[in-house]
Amino acid sequence: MQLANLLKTIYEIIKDDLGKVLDQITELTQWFNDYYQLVLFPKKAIEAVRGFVDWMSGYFQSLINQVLRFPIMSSTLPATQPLEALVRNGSLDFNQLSQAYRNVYGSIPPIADASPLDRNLIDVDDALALNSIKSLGIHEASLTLSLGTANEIEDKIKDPESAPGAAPFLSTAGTLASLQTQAMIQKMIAAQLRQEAALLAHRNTLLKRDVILASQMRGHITNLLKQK
Amino acid sequence: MRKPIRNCISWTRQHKILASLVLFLVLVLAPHRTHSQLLPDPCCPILSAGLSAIADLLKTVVGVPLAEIQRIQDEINKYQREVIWPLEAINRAKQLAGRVSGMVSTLKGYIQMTVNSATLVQPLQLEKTLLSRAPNLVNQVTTDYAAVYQTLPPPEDAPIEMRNLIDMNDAIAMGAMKRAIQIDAMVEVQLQAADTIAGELSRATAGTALMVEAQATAWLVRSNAYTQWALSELMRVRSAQLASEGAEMKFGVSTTRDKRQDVQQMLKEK
Repeated sequence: MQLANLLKTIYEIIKDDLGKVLDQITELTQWFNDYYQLVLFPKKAIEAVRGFVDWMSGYFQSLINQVLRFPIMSSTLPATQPLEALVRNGSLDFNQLSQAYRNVYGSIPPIADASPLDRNLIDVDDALALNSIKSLGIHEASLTLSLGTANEIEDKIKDPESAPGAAPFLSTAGTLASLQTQAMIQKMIAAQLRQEAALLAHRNTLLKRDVILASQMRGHITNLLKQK
Repeated sequence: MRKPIRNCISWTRQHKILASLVLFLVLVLAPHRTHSQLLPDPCCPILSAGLSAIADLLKTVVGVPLAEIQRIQDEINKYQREVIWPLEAINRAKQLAGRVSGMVSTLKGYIQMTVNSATLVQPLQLEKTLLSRAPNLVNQVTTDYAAVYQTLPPPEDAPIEMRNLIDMNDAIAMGAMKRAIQIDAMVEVQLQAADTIAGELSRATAGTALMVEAQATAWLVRSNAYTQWALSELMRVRSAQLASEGAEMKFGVSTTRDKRQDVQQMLKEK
């Protein structure tokens, strides 16, 4: 009789307890599956995002092309045209750039024609201007790299084999490219900072020169008066 | 004798599921001879009917849902492996980390290109220091700057207002030049950081890539802050330029006023 009761108990446990728990687990697993396939990552939504990126890159690229359609080259003379072309095309041929610069902006006056102070000022002004013009080529090249990375990220998303799980790699690569772009912007600001500082220093030196000239003149007048 | 049995029944009631499984396994798996020594004869109709009912029940109540769970789990695994996290797609995306590292190398190459252009001795030295990207040369700027842009006039040559203006302008200009050296050095630090993160990204899994991304984002925020830092220096220089222009006009006004007073004085004396 006890054995019958025991078997009955086992039967009820399996039927009521285990059965219910397993039903709940089945239900939960199904919900989990549906949540992934229908809510979080439905295939249709993944396809839609690919389509969106495809459309967006095409549409906005055409808008960008329209914006950049007209060239902005504006020089007209034989000396200025090569310089403008070199400056705008991001040339990395620094010798040619220096030559074209001097053809337009001139060279340092000879020692006989200008004071050492003036020659130094002219030379440092030219040097800092040329530094920045040469750096333009570097920045144009880094700009091309950044745009290339942006295109590559889009291409990877558009790829029919792309997947949401790979997205963190793409966004991290994008963030790193932004970091590099930011660093290059700082580099440009540093160049601009040097130029602005040089401009201020140049004007300040002219003030100092005025002071020196006034002092010299005062000395000359005093000497003249003494002689009289 | 009754007490252990009672204890056993009591334990069984307390651990129903475990007891059921233990009993079931003992009955099913134990060798027949041993079985017959421990339990009543398996041919006993009650036991036979009971076990048979339990076996049927296990097949339907446990076996069917377990098979269903396994099917769904397989589906989930397949979906995750083929749609959400396919290894091929992840590896292709990882290649971008290599591209970012390549980009850093290219940028470093560009940055290290020589753009020096000065030709005279003093400008050459100043330019060399300014483009050095070496923060330990910041103090060298003061000497090199003075060699090109001259020093503050002595008190006997210029009024205090003029000396103040010249000194302030020099300070701002020199400070900006020093800051430009620091910015150049910071750029290299940030590119190095980007390269390091790209290396980590190439070793990351799809799960940890998000953490690497967070680190990259932190550096991007930092980099934005450094850009502001650099721009604030530029604002300082521009402000000083504007202030200096104003100060020169003020000097012009006061000089004109003094000269007018001198002329009036001379006329009065005559």
